[in-house]
Amino acid sequence: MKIVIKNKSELPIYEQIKQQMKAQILDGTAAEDEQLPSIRQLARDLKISVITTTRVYNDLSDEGFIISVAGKGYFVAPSNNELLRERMLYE
Amino acid sequence: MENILEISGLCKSYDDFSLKSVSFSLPRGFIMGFVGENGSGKTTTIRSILNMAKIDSGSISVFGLDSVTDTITIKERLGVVFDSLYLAEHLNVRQIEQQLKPFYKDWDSKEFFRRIKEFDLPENRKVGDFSKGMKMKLMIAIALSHKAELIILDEPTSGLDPVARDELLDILAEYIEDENRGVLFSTHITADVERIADYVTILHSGKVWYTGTKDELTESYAVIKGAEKDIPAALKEKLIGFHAYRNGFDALIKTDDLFGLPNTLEYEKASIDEILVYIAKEDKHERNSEDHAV
Amino acid sequence: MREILKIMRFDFLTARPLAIIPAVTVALIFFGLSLFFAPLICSYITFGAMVFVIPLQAVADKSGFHKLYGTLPVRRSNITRARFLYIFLVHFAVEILELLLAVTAMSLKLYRVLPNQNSEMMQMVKESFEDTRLTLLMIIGAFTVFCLIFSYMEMMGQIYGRENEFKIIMITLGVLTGLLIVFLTLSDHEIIPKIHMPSLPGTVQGLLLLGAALNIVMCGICLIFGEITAHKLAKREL
Repeated sequence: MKIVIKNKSELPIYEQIKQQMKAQILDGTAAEDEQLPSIRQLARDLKISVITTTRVYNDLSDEGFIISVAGKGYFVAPSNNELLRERMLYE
Repeated sequence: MENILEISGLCKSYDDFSLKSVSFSLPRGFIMGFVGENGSGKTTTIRSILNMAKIDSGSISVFGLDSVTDTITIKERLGVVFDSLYLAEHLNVRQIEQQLKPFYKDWDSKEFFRRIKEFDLPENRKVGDFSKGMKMKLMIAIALSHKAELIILDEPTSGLDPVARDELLDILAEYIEDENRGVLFSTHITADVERIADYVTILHSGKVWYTGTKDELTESYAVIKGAEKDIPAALKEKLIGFHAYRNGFDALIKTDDLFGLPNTLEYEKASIDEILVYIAKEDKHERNSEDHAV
Repeated sequence: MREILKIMRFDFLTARPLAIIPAVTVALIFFGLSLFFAPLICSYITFGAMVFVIPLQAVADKSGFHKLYGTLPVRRSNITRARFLYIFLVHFAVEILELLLAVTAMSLKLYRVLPNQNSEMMQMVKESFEDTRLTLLMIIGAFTVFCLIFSYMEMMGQIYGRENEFKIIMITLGVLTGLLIVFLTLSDHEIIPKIHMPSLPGTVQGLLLLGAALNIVMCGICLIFGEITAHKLAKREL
């Protein structure tokens, strides 16, 4: 998954990441069941705070875009979930 | 898991300066940026943690242990990086490793030399000949070679070029991938904190001005600008570090207080740098009005 | 105790690169001279011991060792104790070395290869090779004097600060000289009874015993100076 952060943007960093991840999940760039980097790995790669990435993953998993599998990590949620499409329509 | 570092009510007085009831904590697995203007008490706080300075009152615990009575046990697991090298300059890396090795139960020579190689440090040159960036990396290599769980850095990037600073932050980010570890680094280069810190503690004139997550801090303050006449009366006393100039004014304000802001005034999320500057300006105002009052 | 040994080793490793060449040079020169002219010249090698002690405090100040002491898992008091024990050990090791070299010189008797074997000077040289007592006395004396001076200077330097070291030494010498003059004057005028200087033991064994005793005393003095210094420094911050 490709994520680019713009430091000078008005949008808070966590918002930027959320939007980019959501977009890639919805348009299929990110495959179903694809494994995502761990919270800490993502923080390290993007050079941002772990708390920020934790918040992103928490929000995305609450909203049904990703799921967390105990002992394994985070994965893109299966997309035959009506909820996802409905959300997209509202965005 | 307990906090990796916990400071409660730390008070320490010198003739011309004192720490007043400083309290903050760092949970395991996170990085805390410790910022404040020069002379705000950052180094004194760190020296208190290391038991180099004697506390007047309050308590400090590291790994759940008391910083005074258990200072030696703590230091086995503590890595420290200062702004200048604390080793004999006529020795080379090999000789220094020889010197330090017996002091740590868990000294790992292989790990040390692996890091030395990774950081591109020559093993046989006198460390006094190292550049500032190299000296800092040497201190980090030492900190990383005895299974330290907490690394404390006191102004590690002062005097470093941007490349070296970037490398240091990368090293810290890699270090903190293990969620049992912690990092406390004090700096006045707020850009570093903005990038990598999870938590921030702002020290101002010996007191804690803010302590909490960095995200919360940056979202809590904004800089507002505009014409002085447009400021609603209710807002005037909420302004921090008010600065008027010919074409307008600027000031810091809590985002909570932005409610009801007229759209003739502009606002922007505040950077940590700006927060520090406005805090200092606010101080000057208070001092000025005190002088006039007297 | 183990901690103290580690710290002493640390001090040694700090001093070694700076001291090794001058010390070995001094040792070779005086040993060389002693082989041909007088075994007691070996006692001058004690000057070489100084280079293992003198640079330590300068390095500590310049490198900001107080930060190192704040970082390492060691007790501050042990750092101080270790310094004094180190000073003793350096002088002790050099003393033993000098004894071995002097014995070597005395048994080799290389003065026999020198020309003018029958001159008056050669007679003196020959005597010095026979005079084990004098040689022993010089070596033990050098050890005692230097060890005392350096441990005392270390104590004064740490407690009162290096800048004041010179002043303190002058004051100490002044006080000692003053006391000595008073004492001698008083005993001269028979106000206090004359104290007879105990004569030195006549035999080599006697001298060796005296030497061993002095070594033990010096070790004790270094330990005491160490405790005093550690106690005085305990209240200060790093």
